[in-house]
Amino acid sequence: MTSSGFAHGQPDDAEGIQAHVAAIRSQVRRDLRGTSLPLLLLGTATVVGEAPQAVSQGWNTGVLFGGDWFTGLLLTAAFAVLWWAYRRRAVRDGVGRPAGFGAAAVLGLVLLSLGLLLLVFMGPFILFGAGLLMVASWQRNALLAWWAVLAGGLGVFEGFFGITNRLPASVWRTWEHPAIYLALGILTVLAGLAARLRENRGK
Amino acid sequence: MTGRPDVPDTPEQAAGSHPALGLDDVVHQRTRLGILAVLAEATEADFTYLRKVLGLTDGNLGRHLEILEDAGLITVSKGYHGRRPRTWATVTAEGRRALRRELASMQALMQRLDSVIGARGD
Repeated sequence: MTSSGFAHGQPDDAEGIQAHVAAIRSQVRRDLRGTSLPLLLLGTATVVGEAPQAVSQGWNTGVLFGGDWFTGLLLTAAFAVLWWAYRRRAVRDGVGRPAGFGAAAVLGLVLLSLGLLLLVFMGPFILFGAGLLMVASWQRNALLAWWAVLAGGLGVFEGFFGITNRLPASVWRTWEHPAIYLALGILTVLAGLAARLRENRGK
Repeated sequence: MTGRPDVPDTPEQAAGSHPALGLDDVVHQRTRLGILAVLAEATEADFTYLRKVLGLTDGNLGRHLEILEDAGLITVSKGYHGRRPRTWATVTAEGRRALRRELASMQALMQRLDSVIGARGD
């Protein structure tokens, strides 16, 4: 963490003040990693959960305690790790707070136990989308909110086979369903990397 | 309304006369603008973090936090981490709005100056 020098030798003109405000905001964004870290971790959890199912042509897919449960478990663990990491940062560095991550992890636990049918019918992206949207609203992070709606919406749509049923193939293949989740996971990791670059550039 | 009758809600409300009238004295001060900028991103930050990022002394930062708290733009809470006392500042919804208004007013002011300079052909 470096000082932006805002208080010393700063300009008085509106343009200079705006530039200084932008510099401060980008420094805080770099310190927080508020967008890239959640996307990278949640995307990785999705990839780890779905890749084996897509490769093995969909073992357990759609079965109670099967693939969706496993990915849901990994996403819940990812939210819990994010809560721990942001809480640790708040205590150690004195910036930010873990608001939303704990609630998302609790939502995951509820879906994995009481709401298991909901998780199986709608797929793991109900947790991904709803959890990330909770985090985004608490953290007031518009980029996370957009991604939660976009990826979460597509994932839930696929939970009802909304995408696989529209693929141009007459035969339904078992690996397609987890492959679509896997693709969404990979896109989330790529979005996380793009967010990390943006944070490093100070935008 | 903002709850602060001297401050217009939007730059457009102040723009009837001159954009500079949309600037809020409490927010416009450079250090306080910096504090609000940090808190708008992080929502919450402690005294030490604010002091480091903004390059301020303890006394200077404390005074500006007090002014922002009195205006209802932030809340300040004190607690302990282990045996170490810590002071946390959190931005309020009004604080976020005030920062947005201020930045919009400055933008409007610059645009107006640009158009005046352009019209004169300087």
